[in-house]
Amino acid sequence: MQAFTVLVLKIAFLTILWLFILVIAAVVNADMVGRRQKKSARLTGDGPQPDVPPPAKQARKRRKEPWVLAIDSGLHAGDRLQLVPEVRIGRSETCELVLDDDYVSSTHALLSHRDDGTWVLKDLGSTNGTYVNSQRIGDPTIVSVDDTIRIGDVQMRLET
Amino acid sequence: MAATVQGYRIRGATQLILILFGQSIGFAGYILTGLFRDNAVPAQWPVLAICWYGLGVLVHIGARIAIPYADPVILPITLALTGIGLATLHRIDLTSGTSPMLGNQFVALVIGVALLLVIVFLVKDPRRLKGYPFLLSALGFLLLLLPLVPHLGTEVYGSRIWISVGGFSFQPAEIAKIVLAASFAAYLADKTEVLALAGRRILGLELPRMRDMGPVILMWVLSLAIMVFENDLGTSLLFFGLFVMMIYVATARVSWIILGLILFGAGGAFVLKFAGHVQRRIDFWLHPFDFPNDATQIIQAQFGLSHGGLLGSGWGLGRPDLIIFSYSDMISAATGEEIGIVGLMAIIVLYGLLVFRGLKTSLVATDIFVKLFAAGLSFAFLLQTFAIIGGVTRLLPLTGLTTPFMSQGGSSMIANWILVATLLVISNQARRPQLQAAVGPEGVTALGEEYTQVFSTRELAQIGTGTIRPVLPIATQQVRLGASGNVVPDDNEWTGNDELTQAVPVPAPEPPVVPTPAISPPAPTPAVPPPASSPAVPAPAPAPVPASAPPVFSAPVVPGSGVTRPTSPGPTAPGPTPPAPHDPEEDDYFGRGMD
Repeated sequence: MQAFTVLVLKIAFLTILWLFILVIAAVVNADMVGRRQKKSARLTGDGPQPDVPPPAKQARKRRKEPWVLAIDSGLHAGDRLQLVPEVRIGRSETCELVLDDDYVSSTHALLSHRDDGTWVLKDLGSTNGTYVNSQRIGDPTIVSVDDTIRIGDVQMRLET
Repeated sequence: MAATVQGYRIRGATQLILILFGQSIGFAGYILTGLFRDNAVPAQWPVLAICWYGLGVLVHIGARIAIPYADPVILPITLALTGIGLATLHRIDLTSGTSPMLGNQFVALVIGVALLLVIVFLVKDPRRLKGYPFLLSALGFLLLLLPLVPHLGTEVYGSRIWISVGGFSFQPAEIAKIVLAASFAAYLADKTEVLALAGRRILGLELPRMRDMGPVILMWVLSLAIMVFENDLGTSLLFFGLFVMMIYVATARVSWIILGLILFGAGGAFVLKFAGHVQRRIDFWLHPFDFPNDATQIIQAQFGLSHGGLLGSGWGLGRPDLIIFSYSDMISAATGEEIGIVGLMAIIVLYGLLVFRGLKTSLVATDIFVKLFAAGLSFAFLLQTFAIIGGVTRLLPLTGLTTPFMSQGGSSMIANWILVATLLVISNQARRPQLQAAVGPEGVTALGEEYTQVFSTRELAQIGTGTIRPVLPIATQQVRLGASGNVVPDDNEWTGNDELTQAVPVPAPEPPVVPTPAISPPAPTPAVPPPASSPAVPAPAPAPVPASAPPVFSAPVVPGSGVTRPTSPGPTAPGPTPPAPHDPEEDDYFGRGMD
């Protein structure tokens, strides 16, 4: 067989071999991304709405308070989420904010609104910790619009 | 919040296409060998094609039926590697002049695939193995030391790692690696806490307590014994490395790795001094050309790979007949010569992908034993492949391990298919749609791995009709089936296992929290949330069951009504409200401290 033909067939074989690897990588990728899309669809989709509207007299006060959680990086980056008075954050389906990240515990942290208008972030015994401005928090911590919250790979902020 | 079915899709068609694609690589090698050597496609190609692709379709159908949710790329990669190995063996057959190996190897492959099918159809819950840590370790150690028994063990080319019974020879270490991975996982799943937390800090290194060191010392002595008496560096390294890696995975303490390295280094230095053959292995590795008569195969492999160059000499055009053991230990050199470094790298990447999928399976699994088992199997596979390919390419001293799926040899082929079968069963269990069935009144799931059993929707329907029973005494009364087959947690009093309701109490909020999830999409303005718009469908509340009562599995099926969770259990829900169960240990064993 001619040397040139051999060369062409050799290269064709190696191309098929590496193509196989690329296809495997594509399938693995689709496996992951497919799952994530499903999650975010549920998070931002037509989920159940809060049952109890805030009392009318508080409505005006609320405007100045942060009631939006902006996600800056990690899963759902760019999302802005309307908060409810009590937000459990974790990987479990039952949390109000589901973060499907390997470094997030099933019920990781609790973000709760207090009567004086501030928000308190409490770590619920998570494995990898809850961070406010890069400091791991042990006790419940008051967070404001200036603070950066990090859970797993997800960074978020409060916004008004 | 209704429990949502969550899981990976079934990737049936994808898997079949990938399997056929992967098989075609080896088959192309076979066809090219004929083309390059004889200018003709081998005459018997239709028969071989039917057998080869038939096997692939068969294993796909079996996997599709028994383990539909299993990782769709593990089988295709395995078959691609097997195919490349078979093509290489066939190619060596053509020039070796000895009896053909392809037939025997194919028989071993068929046995391996048959065992895979048996395992995936019969083994439903790998967690069963957790109950027998000592039996498993005894069996594993027995297998490892079997070659030392006089008359049973045989010494082949200096290494005493074979046993020979009635004309058949077998390498028990191949099976032992699976058994020992299971036993290590069972032991560590039990001891993770102690091994991870207890200890003192000396010189900035957290040292474990002496009494926790027992198993490590035992493994160390055993691996040194293998090194000295069985004369096999590779097996010794494989098992000690496996144990140390699994402890590290279980505890996330770097000190275990450092300790392992120190122990192995000290043992190695001792053996180096008193056992001459290990020293020789090292010399052959560092200066093979000083020993042209002894380090022959290393030198030959170097020349082979160098002759192959970047793109290889082409299938059938290399000289594997010049390499001793080109069909077993040195098969990566024989293949590498003909498909070049570009091809050999692709093979290494395929092995890497297989290990990656194994570790991913471990990450996805919920049970700590299963997690560790999958990780252990992946590490055993990784260490073995690394040691042998590293030895052939002179990255490491050459050891007598087989190249999984490629080397000629029945025991290796069969054992590695069993390993893949185990990973697939674990993967299927981890990736299928899961419902957290243990649901308290808060809708919070108790996921402590000891107490959680996951069900598929079909199984939940079966629990509802009483066809099957859950293993755990969970409060099945709280799981009802809607018309859609979805399971909704009841808002009734929590009656589950007391152990489920330990852990961190969530501060009782004031005023009471609305239990429904309510993170809504981006708010255009800091708006007032929309008014309540969730008409509750009141569900018939089952009678509370005392916590001590034996589980009665009679989840009432509500026909046709599409029961949803009543939206406001609120403060008026009957019975006491237990704190939200949360077990911080339930997940992220792999993530601990890895922020």
